[in-house]
Amino acid sequence: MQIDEEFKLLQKGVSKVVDLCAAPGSWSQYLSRKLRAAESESDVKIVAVDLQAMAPIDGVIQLQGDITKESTATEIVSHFSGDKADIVVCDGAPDVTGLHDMDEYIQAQLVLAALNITTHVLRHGGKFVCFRGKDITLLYSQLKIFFKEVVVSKPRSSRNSSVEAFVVCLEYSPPEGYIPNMSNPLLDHHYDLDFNQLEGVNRVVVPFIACGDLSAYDSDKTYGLQ
Amino acid sequence: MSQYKAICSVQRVTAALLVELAADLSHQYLLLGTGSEVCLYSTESGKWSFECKSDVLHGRVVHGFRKGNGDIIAVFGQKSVTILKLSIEDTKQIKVEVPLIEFPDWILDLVWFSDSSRYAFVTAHNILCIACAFTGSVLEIHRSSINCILYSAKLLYSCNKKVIKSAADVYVAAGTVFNDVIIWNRAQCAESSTPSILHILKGHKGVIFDINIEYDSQLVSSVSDDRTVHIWHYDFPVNGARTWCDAKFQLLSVCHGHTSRVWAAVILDHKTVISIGEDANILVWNVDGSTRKKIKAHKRKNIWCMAVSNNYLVTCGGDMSVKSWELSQLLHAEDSSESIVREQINAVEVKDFPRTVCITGSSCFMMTDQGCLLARHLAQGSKLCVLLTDDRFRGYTVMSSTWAASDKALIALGSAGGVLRLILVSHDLVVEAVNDLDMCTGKVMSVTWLFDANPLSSPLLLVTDTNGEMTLHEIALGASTLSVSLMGRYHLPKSKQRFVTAACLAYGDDLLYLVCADMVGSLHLYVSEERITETTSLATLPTCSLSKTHGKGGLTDIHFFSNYIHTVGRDGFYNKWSIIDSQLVNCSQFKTSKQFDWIAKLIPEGDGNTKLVVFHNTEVLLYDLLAEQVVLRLDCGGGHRSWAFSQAEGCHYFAYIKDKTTNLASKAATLPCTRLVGEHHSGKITDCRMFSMRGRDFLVTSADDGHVIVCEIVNAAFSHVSHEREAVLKTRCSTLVHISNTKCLTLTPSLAGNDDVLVFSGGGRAQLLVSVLTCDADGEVTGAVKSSMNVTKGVSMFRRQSKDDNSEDADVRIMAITSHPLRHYTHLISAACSDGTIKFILYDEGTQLLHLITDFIYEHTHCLLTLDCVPVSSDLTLLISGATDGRIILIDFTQILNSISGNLSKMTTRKKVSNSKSSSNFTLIQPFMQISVHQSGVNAVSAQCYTENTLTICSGGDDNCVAVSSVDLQTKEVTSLKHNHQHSAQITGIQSLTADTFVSVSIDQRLHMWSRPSPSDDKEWGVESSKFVSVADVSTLCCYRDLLVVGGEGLVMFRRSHM
Repeated sequence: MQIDEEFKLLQKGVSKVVDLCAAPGSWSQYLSRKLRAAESESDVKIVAVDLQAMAPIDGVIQLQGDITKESTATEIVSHFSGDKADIVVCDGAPDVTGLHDMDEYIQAQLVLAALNITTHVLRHGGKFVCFRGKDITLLYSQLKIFFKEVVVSKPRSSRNSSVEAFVVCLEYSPPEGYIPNMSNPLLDHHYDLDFNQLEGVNRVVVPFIACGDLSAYDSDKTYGLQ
Repeated sequence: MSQYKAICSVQRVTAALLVELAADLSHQYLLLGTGSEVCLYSTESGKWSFECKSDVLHGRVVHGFRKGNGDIIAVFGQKSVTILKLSIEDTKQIKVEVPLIEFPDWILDLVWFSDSSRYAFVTAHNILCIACAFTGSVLEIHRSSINCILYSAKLLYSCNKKVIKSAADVYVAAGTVFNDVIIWNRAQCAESSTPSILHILKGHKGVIFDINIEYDSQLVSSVSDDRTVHIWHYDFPVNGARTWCDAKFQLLSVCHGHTSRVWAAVILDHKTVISIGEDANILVWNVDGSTRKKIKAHKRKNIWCMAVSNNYLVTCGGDMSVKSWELSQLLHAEDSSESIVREQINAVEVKDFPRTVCITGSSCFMMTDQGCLLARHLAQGSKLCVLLTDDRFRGYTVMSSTWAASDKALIALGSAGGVLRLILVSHDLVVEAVNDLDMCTGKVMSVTWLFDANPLSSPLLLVTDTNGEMTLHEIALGASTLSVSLMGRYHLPKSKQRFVTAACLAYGDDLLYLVCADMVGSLHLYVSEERITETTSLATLPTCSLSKTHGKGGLTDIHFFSNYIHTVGRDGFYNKWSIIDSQLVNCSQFKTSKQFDWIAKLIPEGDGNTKLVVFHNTEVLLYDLLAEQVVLRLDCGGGHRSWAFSQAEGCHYFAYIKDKTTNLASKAATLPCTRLVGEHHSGKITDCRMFSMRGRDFLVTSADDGHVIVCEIVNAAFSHVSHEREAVLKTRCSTLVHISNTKCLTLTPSLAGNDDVLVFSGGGRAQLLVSVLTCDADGEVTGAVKSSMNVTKGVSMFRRQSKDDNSEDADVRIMAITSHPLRHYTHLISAACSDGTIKFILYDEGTQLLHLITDFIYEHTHCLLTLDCVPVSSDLTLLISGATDGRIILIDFTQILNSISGNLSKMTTRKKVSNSKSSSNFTLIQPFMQISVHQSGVNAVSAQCYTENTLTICSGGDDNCVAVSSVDLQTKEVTSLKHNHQHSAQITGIQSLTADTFVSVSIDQRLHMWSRPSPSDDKEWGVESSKFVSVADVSTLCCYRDLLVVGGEGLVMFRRSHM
């Protein structure tokens, strides 16, 4: 929510939103409340996709489907009557294995899968917001291919000790001639070079922007109970 | 230009393999993968020895080993594979046969072709690849029709032959994100081009972490996030082919027993499965799903991986330790009530019944109602003997037994009529000597052997009479006589039930003391007397008496060892005391486990470990303090008056009297396990410091497991000859325990003029702990907790908290801490806290008291994260703190020091006042100045004054930014240079080294060395060199001489060398 305020994600004109890996649906609820208040209800379309079924939310179309399947992308687009989405959000956090490197890898794969389906459903100039559990440097390079601006942001409401942050991608502009393709998903195969360079420093580093009000409650601070 | 080189590390083991090598079948070998390193161990008969290690994966993490023909081992981790050859002739060596090859995708499992010329591997995208073993070139790629991320996979042989000649012989069992196990093959049918899914095993309710197979018994195991182990059985149609295609799978059992996620399971044979998991338990299952055994094998959380051979099970825990278990004992010593031998021993006469019981050595002694002393050996079915019968001991007897010379037992009996009888009994239960003494006119209230007496000296017995007079007797053993001489006479203060329940001798202040506890739980200290004559008139009075040291239930056992008096009680607490000026001073107090509220006995083991006998519900438990685990559990029904416990001849014995019968339960001693790698922290390391003491180097670490651990850094001196990693960390002491997590620590030399080092550590629940590290000539370090304080209340935490104490500010955390020596053996401690305050506390080394100075406090609106103290000039010292709002706050520390120094004596004597809650009239300190350089939390600051009046502050933030700020201390002008593009995640450690160099470390696992060409040019900071740090979740950095330690989930030590 602080992310929205900082980046004005849901400004006027945003009416078609996709929420990937939506369960349990906190973003969907927020999106629904915010957009349906601002726009005339008929224009607003929110599609929430998850592997699991989730509780119904007013004004949210729910799809139970796999984001790695093309049929899911087609189904999303069909709900926007052929139009593409203005913004795609993905708040999914995969199950953790306890192995730090493996968790990081799986998280990256989830975001890549989300990015892949996003290339099918997002309009040019659209926005993509995804959750970052751990540091995924590698991912940024891929995102930069598809978006003009990529920023990592951490809500001030998130604890200082937590590594959780969001990657906010603005202005979708895929490389010329890029054809979205589900059958040959965007694996990280093609971008491996930076990652291998373990001792080097020339990796892609994206800007960091803290968002939220400093006067708000500090989640790290201990407050008196009185 | 300087360069850092990793010289040693403490990290979790991520892969293990037990192998037999063709070149040497007499030994069993073990490969362990920690970070990017492979370590080789060997054993001949259960005793493991370290052979060698080698960094083979260069910055990646080892995830598995697979053995091929001719003692070659494929090591895989992340996306890479390397092939090693183990050379075990004269010198054991790990040779790289094929250097590291990086593949495009994450490798989950690998299998060798039968001729070892190729290997197949399966990746996280469910892709099977075949690669040439020598070149690493990928020869074939096969994709599954199910395209999803796998959490685990295992490559299988075909059902009928363990031979792989082509990709068609390799079958993939994959654990998908959809919680299924799927089995597929490149092409089951000869010419089909699309891989076919042969089986889908549905049942798990979470992702699959591990899959295993046992071909002979036709079993497959899978483990999952859902805390279960699933055991599947496969079979073939009667007349069908024995192929995977025709196999029929059936879910045989679902094993519930782990209390958290299950990481791995192996099938041993047709009836046994072993699993490990996040709960740090080893579970042995019968294939029908019933639990055969459950062992808490490691401290706290997690057993990450295991290796199994015919003889051994090796487990690698979250506490960093590696343990080897004898498989035969693990499987056969059944952990059920059947393994407990129970016997009932009745009195000889029908009307008679046992009243008291005790055990010494391998014998059990009972005194009956009729005054009959019975004895028998503990071994099952031993014969019961009547030693003595005496009417004077009818109805009432106090009894105690102890070891005497040459395997004999010495029994003391006290009667209602004041008679003390001493009986010496030989190992074969023959009475060798008896001595009766008239002790007193009334009852003998208690007889207590002082177990801690020097083993060479004669046994000492403490007898209490009805008037509270205690007499200490020395018993001299003759051939057939027992002579008794009076050693001392002591006065036990009046109380409701005035007799001794536990006692020991202790040394302190160069004197010998007697310490004893009475029935109401008071602890008394007496100066021990010289040998006295019978006629000495007055009994010695206690120099110190403390009431209710273990709550209402009272104290149950006292021992003196390692220079402390150790007490346990029915409040579940374990206390350590030392004697200072003839007073008992509490040095540490902790609750052993939340569940235990009745500790009955303390057993010092002599090797630094201690075991406790604990009553819990209807069970009696034996608890290992070092391992923090219950090693024995016996159901005794509870509610018995007389009991005895002993460990003898590999067996635990527990005797108790219930329903007028002596019940004797025995159970074989716990499983022998060998530690290959010792324990370290079982949580994330939060802070570290290095120091030297008596010419040795040490590393002190704190972690969120609440422990502070001291390790000696051995062989850290740079050797130009060997360029191997040459430092070893030897854990020296790890006894300092916080009640919650430990966040920070600081060290300072003691002002007492010896070589001791003080450790001030802070953490959760506002706890500040003071401990002293002492080092003897052999490098043995002992750590003693001297004081503990809740810094929000200013009260000692050794005192038990009354219930209403928890009402306010219950969870303030001390985030960072510094100390400053003052005069008069006093230190001033500054503690930056999560409530936005910096609190100032005085510590007096003489009185060992902490005193919160409530007069000075700094308050900020945000949580403080870091603290550094910098002497700027002779008349200005600054405290520098970083907060979660991105601000760096500078405080004039000199002002505080000056006003404290002026009133030092006044302040320390005023401690009584400060304990009252009313003292809220503190002076708020105004910051010297504030600097806003970061967008969010300042995780690390390091400041130095390299030129006069200019302070250089290096800071690292949560916003991935490294900032260098120059502060002109006269004009208070600040120039900040921000570097946003060198780290890709939050910076968690920074250290200024010289005016032109500093180091920074981040969650992105990079250690950067920064420098600038000329000091005058402020704009030219750049990363000179960079190192990959194999530790995840890096949280701290510390430099000492040429050593640098990075801590997080484990630690790595680097040495700086100049190039």
